[in-house]
Amino acid sequence: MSFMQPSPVKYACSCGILNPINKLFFCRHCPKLRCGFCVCHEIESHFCSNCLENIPSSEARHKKNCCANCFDCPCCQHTLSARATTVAVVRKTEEAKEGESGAPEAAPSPKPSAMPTTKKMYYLSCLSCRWTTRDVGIPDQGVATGTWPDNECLYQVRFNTLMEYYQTVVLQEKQEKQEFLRRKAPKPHKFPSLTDRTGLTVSLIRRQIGWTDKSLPKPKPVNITSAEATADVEALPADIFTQPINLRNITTIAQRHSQPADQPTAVSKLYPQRRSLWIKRSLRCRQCEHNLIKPEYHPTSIKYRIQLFASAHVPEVVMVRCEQPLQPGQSNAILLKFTNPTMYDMTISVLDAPPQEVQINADAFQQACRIKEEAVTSSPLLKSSGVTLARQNSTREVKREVKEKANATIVPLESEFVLNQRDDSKEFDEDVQAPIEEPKFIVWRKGNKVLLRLQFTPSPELQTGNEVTLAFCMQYTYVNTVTNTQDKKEPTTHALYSRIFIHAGDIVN
Amino acid sequence: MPLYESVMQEKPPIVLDIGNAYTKLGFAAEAYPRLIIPTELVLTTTGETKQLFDYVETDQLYDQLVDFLQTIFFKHLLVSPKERKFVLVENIFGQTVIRETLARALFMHFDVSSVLFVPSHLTALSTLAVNTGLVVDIGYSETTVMPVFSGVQIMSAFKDHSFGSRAVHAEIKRQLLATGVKEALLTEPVLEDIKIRTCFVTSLERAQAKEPHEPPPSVAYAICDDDAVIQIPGTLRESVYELLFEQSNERDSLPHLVLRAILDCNRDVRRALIESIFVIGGGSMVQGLLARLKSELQLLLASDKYYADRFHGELQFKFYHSIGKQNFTAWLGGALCGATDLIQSRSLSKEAYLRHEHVPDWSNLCDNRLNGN
Amino acid sequence: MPVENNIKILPKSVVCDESTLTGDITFSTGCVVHPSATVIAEAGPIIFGENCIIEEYATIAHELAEGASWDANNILSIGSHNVFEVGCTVKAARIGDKNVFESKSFVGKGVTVSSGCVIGAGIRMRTVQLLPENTIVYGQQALQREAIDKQGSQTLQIDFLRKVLPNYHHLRKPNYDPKKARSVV
Repeated sequence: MSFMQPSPVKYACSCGILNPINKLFFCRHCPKLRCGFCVCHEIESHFCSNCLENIPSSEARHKKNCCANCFDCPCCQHTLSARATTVAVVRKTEEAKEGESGAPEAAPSPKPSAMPTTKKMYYLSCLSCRWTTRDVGIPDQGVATGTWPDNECLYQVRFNTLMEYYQTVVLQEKQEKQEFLRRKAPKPHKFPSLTDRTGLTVSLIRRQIGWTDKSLPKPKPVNITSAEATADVEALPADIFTQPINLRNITTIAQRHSQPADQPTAVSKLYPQRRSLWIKRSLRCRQCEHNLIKPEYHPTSIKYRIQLFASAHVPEVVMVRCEQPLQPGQSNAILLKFTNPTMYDMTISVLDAPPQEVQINADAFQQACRIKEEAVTSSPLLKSSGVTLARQNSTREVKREVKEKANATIVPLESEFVLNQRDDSKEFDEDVQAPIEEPKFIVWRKGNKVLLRLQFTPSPELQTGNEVTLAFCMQYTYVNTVTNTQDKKEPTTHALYSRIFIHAGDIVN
Repeated sequence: MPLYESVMQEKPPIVLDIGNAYTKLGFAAEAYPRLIIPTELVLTTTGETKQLFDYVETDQLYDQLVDFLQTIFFKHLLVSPKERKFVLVENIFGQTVIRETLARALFMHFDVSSVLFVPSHLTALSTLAVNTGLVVDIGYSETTVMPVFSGVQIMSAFKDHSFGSRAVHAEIKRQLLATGVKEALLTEPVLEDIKIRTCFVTSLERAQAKEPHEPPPSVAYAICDDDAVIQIPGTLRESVYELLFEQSNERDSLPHLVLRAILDCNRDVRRALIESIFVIGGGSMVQGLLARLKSELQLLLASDKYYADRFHGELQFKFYHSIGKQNFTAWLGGALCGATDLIQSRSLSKEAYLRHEHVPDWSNLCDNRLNGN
Repeated sequence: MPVENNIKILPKSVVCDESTLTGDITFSTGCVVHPSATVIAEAGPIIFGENCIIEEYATIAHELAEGASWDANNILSIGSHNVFEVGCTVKAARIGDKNVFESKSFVGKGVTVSSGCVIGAGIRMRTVQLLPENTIVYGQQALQREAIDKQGSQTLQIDFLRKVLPNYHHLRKPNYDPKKARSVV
């Protein structure tokens, strides 16, 4: 697998976007390839990336997605670390007084308070830019997770007043409208029913909802003092024309934006910022609502509970090399290595067009899946509450055409071939496989790997320097181990296909 | 009050103000945005950073918006956008294609439950609890002037011009190149940094002085990519913002825009507007801008014959001061709006959107007919 | 070519034998030179102040200007309590006290480093400039800021190294004792 560089082999996802196989997922229930674009991302858990503490989502919301203990440097956005210093404690005032009064009679008394005590004090320091909380005059704290000043918003009170005001205004408007409609609406019956007149049902309903029995209080008009426009505006400081400025004391835009509430311009106004949380994400297939990726809950674990990476289910194609330099219109051959990652043998054929009937089969299978799911989710309880788990219509993403165009014609392999199952123990086997009759396009075979030779001809219109793109359909049999219906327990075999695009290289002259 | 408690119940609406340079993001009913991030995204294919609104075709814009929103939701706000309510602060004269594509990305890809579009100028005024004002928004790519009277935007008097932060950056670059600085050094972040850390708007007397004053001290500015120290002349520091006030025959400098916008309004509202000017936008956070604008306006009123003929009486320009910083004032208005019941009654719901796959727009006749759909 | 190597090591310094030292170099009391550190005094003598640490693969060079030759009066004086971390290259014109040159940093000719400065990891400074006291250069954009106080000295580290290094490395013997020298005179 190509590491840290774009892979020349790309698979077309079922949504039409090309991706290397290591960025794809495979939904076993559909069964189709999925990519990051066409799956539904969900938030699994919040955690702090510094202290690796898991934070429940309600608490995370309450804390504004910030860690309670970790801070970021306001200067360089690096994580701050608490530093301890020992300071000789100035004795508490009452102790000092006591000491003074007691001094004449028992000066050398070994009272514990008279012992020279030291105390650990903590401050925050950035290891990257050496910013410390002392730089901006924040006093040291007695505990490591001390009470560091929080962002305070100068106009919070005003904001709350404004919010209350608008909420009332909107509510008032709404009620007036309702009142108006009610008055305007003609009475439905000539003779109002008894319950209507007594208002019995209304009060009953209101009590059920938990509202007060009384009708809504007339919203009282809220008064708010509007802002005053003034004619005096902040003038330029006179010394701006004469005093040289020190760039080191002026914050950069990133520093300002990291403190959005006050956006200080002076470096001395920077305060430690609470560190933003990170999330673990789970991915869900939009079609069948099954999880594709579900990480383990603990922040320290990097494992998954569910992981359906395509590279564990779909044969991997690696481009080895082209036999000859690429020339427009000249027949050439490419060596491709196929690897079977599954525990079952695969039968693979390389075609130049998607097989029609396979597609239908896959759809039919998906249909079957859906029916089964319906059966599971349509339990009477769910039905009665009107909730359906099968949120089929959540996928509205339009399927797009594959944009990539192939500019070489391939010669499809004359026959299909078998790719053996993965068997890790076989790697260590001494005995050589008995040579079997192989189709002649197979160059080499070992375990679950096959090297084969695929002939192709780059399009004659290509110019020097153009990139040659090969496209073919790989049809493979996939053994699904998930039981799809209750009665059938043994694995089912599907014939699936993926379209594969290979950037073979540039035309040479 | 139960009604809006139900609104604010579990999930506060997300408020987004996607500007040309910076995006303000946060939640309704909060007094400041959670974050202000550059409106750009990193391409997964090449790893380059790219402006969000730099696109060739709509599909590309759609993909970029999806990527950008994805980072906002899963990296910054850490909330699942599914079934959420949104408030989008929008430029009322913004491009339809961006608005439509944004709605499509939110509804189709992220499955959000409703979107409330609020016009930026109007919503900015709401942070003051007043309903009349002349809102001047100095943004990145343009400066817009919108008179609002009694909560109604006077569209016919809307004025805009292309000077904004981008033009200021270009001016800094031009002046520095003239002093012989290598162009490769002057990247956009460097220009922005020079602008916000060294530049200011000079006073009217100095700008109009016949003989040049002693320039303010120049600054040695170290650019670190190439480790070069460039000198930023004092004249540059005080003169780059002059392009907002440039005298020309077009009569389209900032003070002219303000006065012309007022003149385009009805006679009865002019005095009210003159006494309630509200300057917002990140571009307005520079030192000395308001003072200069005020003296320019007073000067024009007194000396320019055109305006002197049309404005009468003792007039004093008055300015509002924003609560919070000017660069997120519009966002703040959106956050206030999202905290009210309007989010329930005025939003474009998912069902309504899916019926026509179209966002109603004030400029679209189809949406404004009485029986239109 | 300068005169032959003339290395003066004052007592209590720990200078490993595997370090590369060329030219006229003086290490004051308490300096620690790790193996594979390089000090080149090409243009003139280098004098280290007390308690400097020169870590592995650090290079300190007093380079010849173009066309110049060895000049015994052209002294590069390096103050006390400086730390040259792993892999840094320092060619500065003058270095004060209590500076830290972090890993892989590069300080070119013509940079004057005063006191209490920190050059962050990987930062390359090439143009002629003077770093005022307590400057801290950090981050990818090599931003500068001013610290409120000087960086603490690395006494613990020095004590530790002084104990540990002799156990595993051959040392150059301190060869110059100011007291003795005085007594001889």
